[in-house]
Amino acid sequence: MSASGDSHGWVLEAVELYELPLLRYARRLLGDVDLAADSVQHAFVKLCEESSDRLKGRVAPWLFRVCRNRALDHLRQWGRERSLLAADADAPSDGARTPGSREADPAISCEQADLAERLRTLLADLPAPQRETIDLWCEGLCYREIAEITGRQEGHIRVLAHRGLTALRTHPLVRDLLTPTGLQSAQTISAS
Amino acid sequence: MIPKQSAESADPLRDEPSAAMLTAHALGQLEGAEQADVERQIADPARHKDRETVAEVRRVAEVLRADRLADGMPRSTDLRRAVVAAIAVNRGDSETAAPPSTVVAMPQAARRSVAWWIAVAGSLAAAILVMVTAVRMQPTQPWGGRAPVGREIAQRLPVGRPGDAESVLRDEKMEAPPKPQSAPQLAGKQASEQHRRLEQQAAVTETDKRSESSSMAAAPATPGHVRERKGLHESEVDGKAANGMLVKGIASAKPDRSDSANRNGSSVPAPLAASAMDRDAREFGSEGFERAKQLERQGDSERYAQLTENRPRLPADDPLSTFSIDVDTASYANVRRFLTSGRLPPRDAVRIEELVNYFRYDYPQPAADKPFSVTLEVAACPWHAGRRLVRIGLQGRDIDRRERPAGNLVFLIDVSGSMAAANKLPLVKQALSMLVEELTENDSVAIVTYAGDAGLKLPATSGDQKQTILAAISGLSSGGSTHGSAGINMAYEQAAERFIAGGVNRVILATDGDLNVGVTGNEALVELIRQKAAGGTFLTVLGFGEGNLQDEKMEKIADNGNGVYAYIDGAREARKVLVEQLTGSTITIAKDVKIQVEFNPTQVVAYRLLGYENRLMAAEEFRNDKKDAGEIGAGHSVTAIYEITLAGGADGGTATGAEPLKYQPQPAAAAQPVEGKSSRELLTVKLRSKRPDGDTSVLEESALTDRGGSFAEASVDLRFAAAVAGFGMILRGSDQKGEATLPMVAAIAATALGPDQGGYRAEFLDLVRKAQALRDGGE
Repeated sequence: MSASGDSHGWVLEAVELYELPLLRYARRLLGDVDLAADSVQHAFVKLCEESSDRLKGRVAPWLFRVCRNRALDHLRQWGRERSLLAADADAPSDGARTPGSREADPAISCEQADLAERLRTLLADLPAPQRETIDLWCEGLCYREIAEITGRQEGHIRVLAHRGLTALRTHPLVRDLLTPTGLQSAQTISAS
Repeated sequence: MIPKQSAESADPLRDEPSAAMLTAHALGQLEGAEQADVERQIADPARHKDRETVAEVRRVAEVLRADRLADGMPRSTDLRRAVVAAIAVNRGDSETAAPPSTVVAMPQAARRSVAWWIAVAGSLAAAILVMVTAVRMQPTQPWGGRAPVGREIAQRLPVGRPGDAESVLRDEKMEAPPKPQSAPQLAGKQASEQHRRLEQQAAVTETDKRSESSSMAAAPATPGHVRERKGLHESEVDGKAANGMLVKGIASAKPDRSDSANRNGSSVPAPLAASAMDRDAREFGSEGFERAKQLERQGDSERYAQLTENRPRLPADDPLSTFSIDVDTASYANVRRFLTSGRLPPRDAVRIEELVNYFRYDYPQPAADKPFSVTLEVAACPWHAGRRLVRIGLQGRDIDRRERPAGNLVFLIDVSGSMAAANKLPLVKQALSMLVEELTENDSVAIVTYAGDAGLKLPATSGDQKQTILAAISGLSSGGSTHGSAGINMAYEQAAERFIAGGVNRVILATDGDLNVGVTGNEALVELIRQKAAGGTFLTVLGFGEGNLQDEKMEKIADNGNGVYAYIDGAREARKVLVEQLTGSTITIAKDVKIQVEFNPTQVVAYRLLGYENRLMAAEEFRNDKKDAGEIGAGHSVTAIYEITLAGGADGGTATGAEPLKYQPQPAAAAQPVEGKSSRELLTVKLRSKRPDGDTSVLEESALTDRGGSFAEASVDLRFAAAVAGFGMILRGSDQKGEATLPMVAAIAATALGPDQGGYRAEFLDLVRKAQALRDGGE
């Protein structure tokens, strides 16, 4: 038995912590909720076979990596991996998102919502590796972890994030919204 | 590669690594020396541009992250169950745990993954066969002799390592794109063919796949591909629609995978199962076969108590025949399952009385003050010349469903991994959903599960809260080992909490036979159930699925719970048991119903009861009110058939009249021949029963005199019941079957269908023919 026979409470804890981040990530990768759920479940089931000692401090990247591999398998099986290079099926690039799909956060101003909308669309159009890097960062993973998850060099992640964010930030649609108020409202983002 | 515009608008003063460091700083990804370095740099008043950049990056990143987190995705309860189950499996405390060969060190993760799926999903044999077949077929498919691109990539790459991603999520590093895309049109063609093939396999007919929009046609992501991307996007959506359908299959029927092949078309499209486990299958196909074989063999693990058929008895020695009524019908559904799947049932799976009692007979409703009516009839025996058949029919009072008393129903549902098959938990859920439709605000329903994930899934909820109940039902999913948690205790607690005096208080256990409901030891369990039944909470056992059915155990448990055991093999049966008989299986109108038949030795030289072997009682137990027996529910009917041999002459030389009876504990009135005419009676039926809440039994008697009717003149119901009993004897290979043959049974049944509401009798006829075909075909 690979599991050390200790209590598996840490697995359930990981479910609490990472289920939703994994789901969001996998769904963006796959463009399909059910396949995403399958990938996430797969990751957690595999986690049960692990020992907590072995994974100490690395649970999140480990989960993301296993989940990602599963998701890529799904894509391969459907012969759709190419699609990752183009658009995210879940995020129509024409911006025709279903408004009800997200809960409106009253704290987000109209303008910011607009910005979010545009960024979401543009993000979906980024090359997959850039988009994936940003997705993972959004879920709270650091560069080192993202590198571990995607099997890329950390330096490469740094470049991917940079390129992605630069492309977004400098896009005319974003620039419009960013320049007038952008600097004033910018806040510090705490290190993840 | 960087879109032109962004490259242009990037700070010309910085090279990319340095700019990337700035972004990293903005994202909080720098530490130590690097961070200090950047901070120092941008503190320089001259570098206000950098500060702006950092602020912008932060703003963008922040909005993205907030937007992401606002993306409300529901947590999945399935996930928790699966994890709990997996934990159980990995602790090795499950009987369905992965086979030892697969429990190896971590690097073999994929291997254990498939083992887990196999183990937890239960009888996956079929799916694996399909999967392996699919995998083996793939390379030889006629689409140009090449495996589809996706597969090619998959094969080219080592599977399951993070490194794959580098190729699949191809980086925009300036490398040349991988070769398969060099001829996008070719790829597109292949892809479309693959799609078409998948479609065919999946029989998803309406996915009108436009081949030119296949996602496989994706060219490498290069700048300025807007139009092409758009096209791709559409195809993606298109493909998603198709996949969505299939995937729905996965998600809702994930537990179904197991049975997909041997149950006609009900569940997962084959390629889906194939795709989901494709990789695993590729690597472990032979292991899958091995496991499939194992599972196949498990088909033999169904257990049936051995029945020794009743022998003819002589009234001169044994004037009394005593037994408990039995309204169970599980055996019929089980027999049907065997025959429908092309096998003859094992001998002991056939219980004649349950076959006979499966059908509705047209017995009169009881008189106003009686819980049930008694119907007696006699006619010639079709399979033994010179013998007679006696039918005893009890009809429980029918209660209009709308007028039935309030119900306090607690469902105790086995959600162990073995319940995953399509004909188990999904069917349970379907059955429950049907039942819910019948409930009113007077009823309450609670759902308790047992297995790795034991617990209260739905606290007692009023029957009119249908959405809540249905949601709880649809939230049920299997996974895990059947493992002791105080499932049954919890169920009884729930029942006690909402106990309805004068109402129907019942725990309804749905399982495939792993009856480890949290009480160790059969005896303790039986005792608990007996106790609770005494307290007014009865138990119904619904058996599901195949291959693991602990028939004997289930019946024993139901019997002790004063309850009903029904085997549910399909939606139709679910409706019959839970909806049509809702009032019957939930409202007890009389309990401890015992039948004692006293034969008149002057008329009857031998008798034999067909069936009820495991319901026989000692003659003295008839009067013993401490000895419990079966209950009869509203609308239930019970039929018993005796085959008797008449004495040569009515006043035969052996006419010792009442003599043997003088030693009986309580000679009944009929046993004291009242001058002449009563001596022509064949028998007297005595019934003892208690009110559902009563402690003392009430006796009722009726006598039967033979008027010498032929079989053809008998009522439709007698003839049909005789056909069913004959069928049972034939299936059991009984040496008592006389001249009964399947064609004879079919012929009798065919002329005794009656009104046949619901078509059950016609179905019986069909089963007889199936059995005939199986016999002819090699048995």
